[in-house]
Amino acid sequence: MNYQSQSVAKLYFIAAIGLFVGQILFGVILGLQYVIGDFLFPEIPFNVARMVHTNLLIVWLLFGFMGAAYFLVPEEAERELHSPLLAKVMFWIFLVAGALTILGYLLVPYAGLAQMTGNDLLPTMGREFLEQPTITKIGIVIVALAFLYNIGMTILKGRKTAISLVLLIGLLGLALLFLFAFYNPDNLVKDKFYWWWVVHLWVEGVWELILGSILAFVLIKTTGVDREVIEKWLYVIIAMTLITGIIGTGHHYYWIGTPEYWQWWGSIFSAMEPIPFFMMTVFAFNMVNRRRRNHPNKAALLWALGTAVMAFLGAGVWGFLHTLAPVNYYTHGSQITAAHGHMAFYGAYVMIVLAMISYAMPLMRGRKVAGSNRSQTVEMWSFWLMTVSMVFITLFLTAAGVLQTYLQRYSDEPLPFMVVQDKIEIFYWLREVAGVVFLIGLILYVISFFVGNSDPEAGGGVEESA
Amino acid sequence: MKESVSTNLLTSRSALLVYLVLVTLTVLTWLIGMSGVEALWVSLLVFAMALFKVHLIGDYFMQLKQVRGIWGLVIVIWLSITAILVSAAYIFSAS
Amino acid sequence: MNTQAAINGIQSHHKYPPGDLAIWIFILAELLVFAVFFAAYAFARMNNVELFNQYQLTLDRNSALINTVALLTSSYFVVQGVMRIREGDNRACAAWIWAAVGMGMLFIVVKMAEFSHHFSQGVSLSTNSFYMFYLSLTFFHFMHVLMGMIILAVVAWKARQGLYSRDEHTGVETGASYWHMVDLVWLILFPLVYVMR
Ligand code: HEM
Ligand code: HEM
Ligand SMILES: [Fe+2]
Repeated sequence: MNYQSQSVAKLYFIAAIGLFVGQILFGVILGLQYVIGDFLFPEIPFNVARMVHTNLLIVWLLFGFMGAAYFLVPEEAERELHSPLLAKVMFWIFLVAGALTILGYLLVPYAGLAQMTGNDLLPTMGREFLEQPTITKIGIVIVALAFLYNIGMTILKGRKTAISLVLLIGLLGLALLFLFAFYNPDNLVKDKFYWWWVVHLWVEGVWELILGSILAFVLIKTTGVDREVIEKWLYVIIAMTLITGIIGTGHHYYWIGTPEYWQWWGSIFSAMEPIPFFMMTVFAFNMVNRRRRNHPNKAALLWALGTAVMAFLGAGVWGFLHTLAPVNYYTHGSQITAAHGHMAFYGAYVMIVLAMISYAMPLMRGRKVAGSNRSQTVEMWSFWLMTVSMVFITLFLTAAGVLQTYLQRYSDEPLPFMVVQDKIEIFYWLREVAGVVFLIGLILYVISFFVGNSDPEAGGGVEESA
Repeated sequence: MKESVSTNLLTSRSALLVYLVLVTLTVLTWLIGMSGVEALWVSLLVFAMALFKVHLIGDYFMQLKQVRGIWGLVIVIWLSITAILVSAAYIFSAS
Repeated sequence: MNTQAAINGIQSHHKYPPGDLAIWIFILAELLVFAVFFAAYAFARMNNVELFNQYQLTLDRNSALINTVALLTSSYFVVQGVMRIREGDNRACAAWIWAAVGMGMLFIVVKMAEFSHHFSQGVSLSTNSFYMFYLSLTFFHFMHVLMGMIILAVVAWKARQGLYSRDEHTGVETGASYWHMVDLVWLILFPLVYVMR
């Protein structure tokens, strides 16, 4: 770690991991509720658990992105963070607001929560991923503004690199697009239309810039390849992301009451969205092949390469699978969507945050370049457990989705929804088993921070040239 | 340098020549359009001229003729895929 | 002979096309999008030949001719600009590239007149699938012309500042390659949408 103020990232990373554990616990509860319908009823109904699962995911990823930015920006700008104090204050505000919101979900009926928090004044609640009470949303905006101010000033006063600029644009876009969470028109078509401006334009737009820049940062650090080469790739990737991803939003406009041309626009442009993900895969492996040094932090490199592969599979391949209008006509809102949602989120955003944590955490905990061999071994086990079980979750859900689509929507004699759900129950059981393995992987991940701390550093704390 | 005349493609003269061919074919396409003749083979002829024009742009203006290997073929490959798809659709819709 | 070759910047055969390789990856991706768009047009037409033939007649082929020639001419100017910079002549290069931008401007003006004609007739993306494709394809290409003009303007400005040289002028070739792509795509678009029946 080169700058003292980078260490504020540690708080953010610890919170991120803590909330990640919560997210997965609720995932496993949800998975069980799929097969044992009244599990934990009435204490935690399915819809509440689902809300907690998805909201925790978004919130911990945001913690992860912020932590990543606080670590990355001073290093790139070659100066201390503009205000470490502001970063700490915002951390606590965000954490407390987040915790209160989750408690609100769990302890108060949703309608009551809406009333308590004055949703009538500015109704924004009740939409998937954006369930937070309006005041929490306002809190998120304030935290985001303070955060952007903080890293913006740091970049402005320091060295400006392609990586920190792309990151800044991505984070700025993230904040701006979130403003559409406050726009909640009565017209249901318009409501959905703009809802996707947050959801889709996040994960298939600005978040990809964040992903690209963090990936580039970790690769520069671990491979020692020329910045110039890496930056060029970054530019091409983000240009492709924006060209395909913005109009690609159309793949959510097929059946919500928007004009028909969206079926063409959505199909054509979103079909190209895998390109930037594919470029990222090629980019990552290309950099590793050209590496100038062998970095002792093998775990960080594993996460970085893992992201490059899994993001392409989850977003690129599984996204493409159902993105063309004639296919989506049948698969819309089925388990295929859930399969894709899981692998894409995990592959692209969970893994990139974990890659950054893996790279930065040992440095912030006083190591020179990497953690001990023992802790890295445990971490790499957790990598494989989580990744492989996520692949299985995806495969089981895909199988369930294909059957569901066929039996319920495609066959000559379509069956009712619940009848089909009974027929595909076995896959939901298998998904639950894979989910438990995922949880074990995650626990191992947490353990990796506690083992081998008194052991010497891997590679003796020096990087060898390749 | 082991230069030969044939590799020395992009001279002012050859560029002008290519340009004139491109414009001529364009005017020809326009004339066919204005003449109102309608037949599959006419459409395919017009399309073939367009493909040839693209090929000229690639080889001379983009100077891919002097590029060895796969990079030298990118436009030709793109062209072939586009050609097959579009002409297949036209042939099917005429029958 | 050798000097002539050097003047034109041609050292026998190359491994990579002129300009930054990154722009070529970008060009390939863009070409792919256009290829898919063209194929989609052709296949959508297959189910609607009558309709496509009928409304194709409402397009202005004269404007399309002017625009095609404008783009071809601008591409030719860009080629000239590249040749000049290979001789190390920044000023001449800048002049040619500005001329190309001028031709791009002509394209934009003609195209806008076409669009406004159609819009004044109440045509929109939802009118029918022919107009949907016509408007989408030409508008998407229109945006590329604008983008290309911006790139060329930057190149011309830098050339004017004398920032390139005989040995280092990748930027010019990069901009040129992108612009040729914009031209090349239009060369298919023109017959496909305006002429072929
Ligand atoms: C990392 C990037 C991505 C993430 C995190 C992601 C995540 C998701 C999620 C969570 C949903 C479900 C939304 C809902 O609640 O309805 C979804 C839907 C969808 N995604 Fe993605 N996605 C990504 C990239 C892509 C890409 C690249 C494509 C296309 C090639 C794609 C195609 C789709 C389609 C077509 C749907 C709608 C499915 C339906 O009709 O039910 N996604 N995505
Ligand atoms: C890092 C890992 C995970 C990520 C990124 C993740 C992400 C998501 C997302 C984005 C959704 C909403 C999907 C949609 O709208 O279509 C969702 C829903 C869900 N997740 Fe997860 N999840 C993860 C782990 C798990 C695990 C381990 C399980 C349990 C075995 C699980 C079970 C579920 C269930 C049952 C739903 C509800 C699906 C429905 O409404 O039909 N998730 N998750
Ligand atoms: Fe999407």
